[in-house]
Amino acid sequence: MNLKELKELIEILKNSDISELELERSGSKVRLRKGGDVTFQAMPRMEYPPAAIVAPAIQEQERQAVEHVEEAVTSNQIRITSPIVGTFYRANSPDKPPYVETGDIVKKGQVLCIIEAMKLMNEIESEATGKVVQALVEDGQPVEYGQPLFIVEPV
Amino acid sequence: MNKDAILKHLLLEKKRFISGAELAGKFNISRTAVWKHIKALEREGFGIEGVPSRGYRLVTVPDVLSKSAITQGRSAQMMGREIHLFRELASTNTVAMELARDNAPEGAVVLAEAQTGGKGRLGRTWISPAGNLYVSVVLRPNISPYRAPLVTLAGAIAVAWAIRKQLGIQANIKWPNDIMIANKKVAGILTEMSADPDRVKYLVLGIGINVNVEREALTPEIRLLATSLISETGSKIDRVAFLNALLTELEQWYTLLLEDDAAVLREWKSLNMTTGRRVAVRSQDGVIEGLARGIDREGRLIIELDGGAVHNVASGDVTIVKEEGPVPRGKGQE
Repeated sequence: MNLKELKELIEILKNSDISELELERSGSKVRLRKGGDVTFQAMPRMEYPPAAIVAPAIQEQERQAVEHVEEAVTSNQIRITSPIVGTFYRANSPDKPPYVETGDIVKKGQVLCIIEAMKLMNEIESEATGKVVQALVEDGQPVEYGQPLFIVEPV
Repeated sequence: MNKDAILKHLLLEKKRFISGAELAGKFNISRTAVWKHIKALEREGFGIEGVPSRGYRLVTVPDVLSKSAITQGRSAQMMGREIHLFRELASTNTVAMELARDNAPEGAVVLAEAQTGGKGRLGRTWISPAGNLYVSVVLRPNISPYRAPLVTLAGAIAVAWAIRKQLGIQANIKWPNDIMIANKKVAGILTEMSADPDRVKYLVLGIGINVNVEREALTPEIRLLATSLISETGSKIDRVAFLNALLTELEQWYTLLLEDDAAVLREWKSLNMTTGRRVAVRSQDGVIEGLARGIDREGRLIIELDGGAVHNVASGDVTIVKEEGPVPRGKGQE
């Protein structure tokens, strides 16, 4: 389901006598209620641009990753997210050690990983000086726009 | 400046001698200064004949990149407005990224005659002997990072058109941005980017083109997969003229991308040789095989697996699968 379809659903609901609508399709579910909050269930991908179409298996991985983060982040920790859709690499070459390991202290601006899309290499830098609390993505895995990659606890 | 002016004068008057006095008068410098500039041009590889009492005459333009020759022949406005030329570098991309960090303007170009650590994907090397072109361009597009990969598509279009227009050779694109002549790779593009979450700060488009190094000089394994412009045309390429054609094309396609990315996607589609073919995409995760359906709005390759599932692939090594026997028709063929 993409943003356009969601908007259409909202339109349908608005112009009808129905007060609540629930739709389940290919593993994703959305529930809309008039006059209240819009509730998404198991649809963290809605924050990403609508053009991204990813195979269901990959969606499932992302969902797990995102849910995992929701639990892990405490108020003083920050998430480093991916600015592009691409492939996540922890090192700049498969035979090199990772840029960072869990527990490492990193400086603001230090490279944490690379996201590649179409031979465009994007070095992701830490937004703060702090400790790498958690690496959330496995080396070589696809990542979505906005997907959390690391949790850093500023020191 | 005077050196450029003298060169331009010599180029324009190629057939005849120009006296040192005439050049001195033209540029309001001493004859000794003219002589010094001529010597500097010779050091850059220009063949200049000097005959006492007759003057100077340009005989040969070297197959050496020189700033003055590039600037003289340049028709691009922005691309190449600043040129950093080196005999040898580890990587033109690395230097261009450093320049960009230090506020180099959009269109600044880094060139090296040879690279000792030319970059490919994932720590691979781009073999970079002297005689080819290794050029990195600093760009500062005011776009969101997720659209930045489109710049690499525009780069591939520019290289393909520079080859087509300058040399009359049919060059095509293999997803995402390999430039191919008859199924052999002639040029590759590796891009590096620095971005905030919502905005590209700068990116460097690194282009390696096999120009004047013969295929025979490549290792046997690479020779099967790669070619060079000299091997395709059978004659030596004027690299300066080719580079200027490339800068012009880059400027045109990059400018168009910022105005109308759909037009760039259309052009990519018309030049590409990947879609409609059966492909295998290898990544660290394994290999998937299916029919390349096209590219999406952000340039990702749409692959339909045999079971009908669709993947939009952002990265990986694509090989076109050779079909055994007759090509199956029907489902999935465009």
